[in-house]
Amino acid sequence: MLSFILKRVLQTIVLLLAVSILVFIGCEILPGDVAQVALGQFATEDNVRALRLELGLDRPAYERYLSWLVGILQGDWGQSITTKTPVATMLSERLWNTGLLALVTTVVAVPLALVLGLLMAVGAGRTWDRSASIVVLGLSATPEFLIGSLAVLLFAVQLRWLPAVAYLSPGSGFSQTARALFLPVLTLVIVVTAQIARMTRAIIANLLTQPFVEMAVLKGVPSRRIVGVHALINAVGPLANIVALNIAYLVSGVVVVETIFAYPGLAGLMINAVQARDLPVVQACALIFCATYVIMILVADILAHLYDPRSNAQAAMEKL
Amino acid sequence: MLNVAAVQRRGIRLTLWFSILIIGICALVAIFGPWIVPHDPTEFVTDEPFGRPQVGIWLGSDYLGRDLLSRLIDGTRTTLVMALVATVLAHLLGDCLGLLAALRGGWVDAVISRIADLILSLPKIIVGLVIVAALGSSVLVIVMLAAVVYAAGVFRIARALGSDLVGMDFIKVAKSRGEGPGWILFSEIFPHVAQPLAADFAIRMSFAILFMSSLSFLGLGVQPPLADWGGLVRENLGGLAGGSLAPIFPAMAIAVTSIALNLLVDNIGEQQLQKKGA
Amino acid sequence: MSDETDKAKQNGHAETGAGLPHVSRRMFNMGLLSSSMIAASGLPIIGSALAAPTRGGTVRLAANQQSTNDTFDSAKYVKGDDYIRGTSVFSYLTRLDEQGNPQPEVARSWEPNENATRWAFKIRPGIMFSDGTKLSIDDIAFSILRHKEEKVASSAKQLVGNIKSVAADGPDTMVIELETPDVDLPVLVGIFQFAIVKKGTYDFAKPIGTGPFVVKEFQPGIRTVLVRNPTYWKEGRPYIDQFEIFFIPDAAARANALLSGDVDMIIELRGSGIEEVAKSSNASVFVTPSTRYTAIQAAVDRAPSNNQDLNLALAYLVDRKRVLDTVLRGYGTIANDHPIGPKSPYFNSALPQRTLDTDKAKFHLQKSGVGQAKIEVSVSDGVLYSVDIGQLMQREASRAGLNLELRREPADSYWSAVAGKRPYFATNFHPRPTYNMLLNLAWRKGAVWNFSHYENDNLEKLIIDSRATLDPAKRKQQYDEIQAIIYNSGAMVLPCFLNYVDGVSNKIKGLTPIPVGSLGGFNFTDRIWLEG
Repeated sequence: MLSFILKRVLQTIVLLLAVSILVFIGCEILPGDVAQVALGQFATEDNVRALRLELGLDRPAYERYLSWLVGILQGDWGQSITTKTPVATMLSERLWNTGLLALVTTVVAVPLALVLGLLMAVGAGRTWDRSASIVVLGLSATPEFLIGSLAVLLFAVQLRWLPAVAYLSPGSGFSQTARALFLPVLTLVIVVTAQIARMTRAIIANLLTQPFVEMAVLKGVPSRRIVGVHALINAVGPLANIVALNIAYLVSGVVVVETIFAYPGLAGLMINAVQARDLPVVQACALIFCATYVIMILVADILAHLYDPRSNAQAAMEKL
Repeated sequence: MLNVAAVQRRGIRLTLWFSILIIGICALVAIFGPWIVPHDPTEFVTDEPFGRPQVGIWLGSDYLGRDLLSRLIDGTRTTLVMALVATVLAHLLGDCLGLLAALRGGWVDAVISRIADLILSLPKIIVGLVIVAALGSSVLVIVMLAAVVYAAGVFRIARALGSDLVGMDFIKVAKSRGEGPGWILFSEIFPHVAQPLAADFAIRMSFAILFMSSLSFLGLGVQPPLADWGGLVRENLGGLAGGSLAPIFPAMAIAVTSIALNLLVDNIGEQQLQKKGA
Repeated sequence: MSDETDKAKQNGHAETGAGLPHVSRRMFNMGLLSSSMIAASGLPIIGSALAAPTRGGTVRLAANQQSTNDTFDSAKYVKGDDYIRGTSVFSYLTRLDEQGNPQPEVARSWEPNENATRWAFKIRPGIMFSDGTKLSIDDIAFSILRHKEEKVASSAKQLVGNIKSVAADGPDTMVIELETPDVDLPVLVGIFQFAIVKKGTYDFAKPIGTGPFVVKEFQPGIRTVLVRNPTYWKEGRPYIDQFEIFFIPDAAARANALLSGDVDMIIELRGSGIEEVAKSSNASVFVTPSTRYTAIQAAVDRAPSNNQDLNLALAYLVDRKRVLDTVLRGYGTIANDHPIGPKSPYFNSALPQRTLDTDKAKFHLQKSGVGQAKIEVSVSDGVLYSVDIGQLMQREASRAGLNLELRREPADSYWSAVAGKRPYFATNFHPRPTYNMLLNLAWRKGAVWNFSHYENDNLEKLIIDSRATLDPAKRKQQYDEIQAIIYNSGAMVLPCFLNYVDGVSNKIKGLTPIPVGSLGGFNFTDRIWLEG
């Protein structure tokens, strides 16, 4: 187990390095450089040259990359080129916002989705399952920009129950924060729940047709326990994987929701940084996204390892 | 148990027919689009933005006063052709590399797998934003982008399917006969993985539609006056507050097509299950 | 209407008594002609002057362009919210009024020499920086001259070029020497870039100014929180205690936020959002008529855009009425392919108004010999309404048999990689306080913003001469010629001038439109108040 984790951690580090190089190259080939973009419409050749010099952009790319890398290894995320403030400071609030949105959504959506998926799987083929399946499928196939826009229109503009934008004022209290977050969380919960519930149903319904379940039935185990004990244990691996992917998505992939609700999160920061060619910030965001994904998958893998049906199903059977 | 199976089969038929119907309609609209549009999709048919539906302008007009139905038909063609080409490319790339990695193993497998991990670890939509910022938005760039992004996922599936088979006897026999990897790939492995890969194809295509729509929604899609479904939603989103349905129709098109593709896959899967059970 | 216009103009001039003798002010002032526009448009002015302002409260503004480039360095301002941050934290020598005339601020009055090459400004005494130090003339001189410095990389470098020196002459008098005469110097020193900062400031992370507010929190790309400066030199101002700026880049989301009361002011309403806000009971559409424009420009130094007939054909392929009605929802004015607004006293009414004319377009196309060659026009979401105007043009072009294709370019690198570097491209200009400033920036040889690379010796001479021409009749004639040259060059298709259309909560009082920008010319935080 330990060697498995160690191996995966090493792989992760190599992967993160590769990502950072890829992102660096990506930013280098973007048209327009940071000085040009920062000065925008007003730039003269002289202006741009002056700013480039000021920012140290005259150094070769590999040199800038290496000094960045050395900085990271020493725990220094560097300084934003455009704002001249430490990247860590710029990230902190956005990271908190993104984390909050992802956390609340996960806490609501995951249990909801698992229960829903389980109920659908148990009732596989019945009217309840059929209709729930259609609804869940419909929601998972509806673009989030439609769900979000309709939610704003209904709850914020028409009914005036909730704010249209998820802007968190400094020092806003719990109820204010909760109100501000309600609509983006609702939108994401719908999207994520639908995805996870669908997969849960598929996985568990599939497991229920496996021979060991039939065996348990023959042994006279009440059906509820079959589902609860066997299927769920066997499904931990794949379910963990799906939940992990969805959490990673909540951290890095919610650009559309951030746009609709003007929520200052990490994805939006990265887009702004790309537009401003602010390399240190782009790098930091890319690393956070990539690390989240890899760590989530790692946790899922470890869980899957612990609950490997091939090693555990037998043991579980014997206990009955 | 038998009873449930019967219900299931009836349900399957219904959803299967529904999905085939939708996909069929979409395909026909995409193919015959230029001949069935009531108006030129770039022509102004009303002087007011978001005109109400009327005879001849069945779904009303868009934000510039163009016929929404015609633009929707035109957008169907754009959306589906782009998604189809992207998915075909993703599968060509992903299947070949995945099966190759499974068959050869060793460093070939390791290298391709790590590259796939790399691609999968980056958020798709942000990769899209960066690439479009670098290369500009054109049909070619977006299709290639979607193809590469989804090839990584396809690769993992194909590799997993391939790995299951590699240990099996008939592959070993073929290897011992001295068959080349190309031959084994296409005549021995491929027939066994074709069906799950076909199911993956349909799912992947629905992902591609959603992905490209999201890019278009963020303003990174095809060049105007051409618009795919996501682009149509974006263009007309401002009308929503005023009660116009202009952004709803293309969004519904995205949802319904995506549902149809998913139902198709569900049915393929369950039929497979039944076949195995029988 | 013309009576009102004249009266407004006279009032405007009468109030600006200080400095220049009355007569020459009248002659010089080209104050954006907006003088007439405001009065003529019968614009509702939010907040009656009779109601007494009340103190206190927080005002929240949603800006449209989110970027981590947010700055307090006036040399690097690029967006509307930068200007607003700037006018809130810093003071200026002068400010523009509703008629486009300069009004005293830190400078109490000003006086030019005979040929307007040497200007003496009387500086208001006793102004303090927010850190407690006293404002000196050295600080003001630095604030202007720093824009000449290479390392500052200022956007005002071109404009500061005509300033030879800035120096103190006695305790409260500052003298500016010019290279060539400029009768509009009091306007120039009031532009956003010339924010008054402390001598030797190059780092603006923690700005220190003499303005109505001080910074409480500044998070680029997220928010700016400003609180009342207790030592502000204007007695009793500002009225509000706190001012907060954050971003809602999506136009529909911005309008929604105003409608639901989450914000008090928003920069830029679009499309249906305008109608929704107009219908609402708690917010209003705040319109500032202006000569801001989005144009399709041709780079005349390369093929195929050096083909004058092709360019003129494009000018006849825009349905200006449709642009105004459909794209702008009526919030604009039809233009005639040159940057002078129709309400300006300098407007050349002898030039025939160009309209959609497929026959004329075909005639020019025939002459141009373009045939079926593909003509690409670059537009961008970063250039307001250019994607829509481009689509209208594309449609008419296909009718006239021209193979015109649109390229939507990424907004972020548009100004560095597209504008001026492709044959046809959209550009967007805010109005300048004077037309001469705009002409200098956009139509002079080698000017940074001369995106068309259009060079014409006669035009060059007219722009320079008109800056120093004292005779109004002669000046009018010079401007007529300038417009005719630009009109006939085909270098620019300018279909419509765009009003600034913003949204303001009905609680906000004291806001008046100033025609150089959104929401009171981006300069309003020290005069607005919240109702009861």
